[in-house]
Amino acid sequence: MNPAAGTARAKLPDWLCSGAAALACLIDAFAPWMRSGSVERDGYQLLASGQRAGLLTGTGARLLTVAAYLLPSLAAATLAAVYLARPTAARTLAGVTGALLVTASALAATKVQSGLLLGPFLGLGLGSVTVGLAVARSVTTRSHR
Amino acid sequence: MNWQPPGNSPEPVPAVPLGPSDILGAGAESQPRRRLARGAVMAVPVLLLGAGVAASLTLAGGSTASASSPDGAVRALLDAAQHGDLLGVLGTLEPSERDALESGISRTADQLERLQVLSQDTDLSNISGINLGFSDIKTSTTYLTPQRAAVTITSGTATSHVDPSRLPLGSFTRSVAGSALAHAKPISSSTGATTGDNAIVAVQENGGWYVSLGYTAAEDLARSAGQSAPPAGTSVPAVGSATPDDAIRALVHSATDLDLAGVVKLTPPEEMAALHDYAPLFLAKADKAVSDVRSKLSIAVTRLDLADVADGSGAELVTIKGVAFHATYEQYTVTYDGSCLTVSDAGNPSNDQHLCPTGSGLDSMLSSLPAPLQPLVNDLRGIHPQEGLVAVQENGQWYFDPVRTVFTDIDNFLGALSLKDMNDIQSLVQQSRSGSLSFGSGG
Repeated sequence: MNPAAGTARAKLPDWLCSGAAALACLIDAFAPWMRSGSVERDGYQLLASGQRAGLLTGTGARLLTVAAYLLPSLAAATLAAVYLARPTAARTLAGVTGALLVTASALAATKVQSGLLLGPFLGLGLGSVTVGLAVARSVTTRSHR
Repeated sequence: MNWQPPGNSPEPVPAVPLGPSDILGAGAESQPRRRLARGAVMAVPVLLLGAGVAASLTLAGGSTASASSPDGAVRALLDAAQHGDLLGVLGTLEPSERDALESGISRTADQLERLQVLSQDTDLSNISGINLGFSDIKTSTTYLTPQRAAVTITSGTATSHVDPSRLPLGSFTRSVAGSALAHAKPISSSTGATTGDNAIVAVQENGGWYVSLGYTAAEDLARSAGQSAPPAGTSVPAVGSATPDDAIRALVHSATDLDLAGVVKLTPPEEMAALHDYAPLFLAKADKAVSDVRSKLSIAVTRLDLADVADGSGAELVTIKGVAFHATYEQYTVTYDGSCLTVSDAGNPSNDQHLCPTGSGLDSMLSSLPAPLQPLVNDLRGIHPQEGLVAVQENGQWYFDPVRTVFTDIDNFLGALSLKDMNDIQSLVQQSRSGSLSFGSGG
């Protein structure tokens, strides 16, 4: 068996688990999240409108807002970690990205009383899967050691 | 291709997807190429991170962007309104005014849904049955101060379409409105959208422009009275209190002294900025009007028991649990000790009265009402909504908030009503409509 090919195959799940999952989380943030009247907003437009409308008050909401704006940086860092073959860093960053998306989606689902679209529901699923995969991969890696 | 990430190997360079001879050649001439390849490998994550950070900064920078001009704020408001976009409308309003209105409207709508005045599926962010449109809007801006501008809509068209059958009305409203609503036809109209002599006032805050409902109302009142905005520096200064109770005590004392300027001073300086700025236009006249009464009236509040309740929106509802006062007006003296009212007439002591409301007294009043009204009035007598005055904190000080007070008291009153009360009202209206309602005394 070609060891190099085996290594490449072993790397494939990391790429899927971390990079693709983080990217999917980022893409979901730009999916339609809410309809108000005849206007549809993606996650960031909803966040911006919520800020302008004074709906995001309190320390938790403000921290989450800052964290949400870090999502593209986190996703990019995850991809960079995957590229540099730093699986632990990639898993950690992807896990944080997923956890952020889950929290933001849950906040949207509780704060927005009506007009929710696909984004937050997809976010809850995608984020949970990303966190789950990151944790599962970490556990598997430790048990192999 | 067996792509191998560079960091996977103890040696970072060999895994670069270039031919080994290209990179690993030991000759002196391969050194620049090795550096180039290493740079190319590192460029990818650097570019990724750069793009990510740039995206984060761009998104965060655009998040708080409000209108960049007074005209832009008004246009954003009209645009949001014609799309039925409540979230967009809220984003165009002056923040402190918006905060005061937002929670109040939302809570009142919830109560009206519960009482079936509005339908259960009422969506404030998408009110069905009403469509607005604005087209060809042209505006003219006059700066009242560098941070405040009056925007006049000089031309344009406003269209509206109202379909009563699609309005989010609940069973109570539809039942009370009866056939008038059931058979109402959709109404469409198209009119000029000019504001005429009036204007929509926008204010600048934190670098952005917002529509101010308070300043718009104040400016339009001033214009209708033939006056212009007071000059800068003439505002009534705000006087805050250390606690919500202190703010309401100060209000009660200013009110009993008929001190109108004192009442204005106790209102929040940001949310009620328009009142503070425009008060000089009417205070002198109003003060003159009450001066005659003030010279004859004297009120001393001898006891004021207050209790605070958080109203859920960061403000405090201060309820009056007990009060006693002594008032004199010309030859009359009125004393209330918390349970009984004594009225004395120094000119004619035979007119003196001592009133102590009792349950039996109220019962006899109730029995004197027309029979169909008695169950409803009896039920309403039993409700005890938590009414009071709302104090709000701004810049560490507490102020009396008239807008939140109105909304909170309406909300609490509606909250105390039950569906049975609404059914009683509905039944009364239906009896009245059918002619079966008799107003003979209930005995």
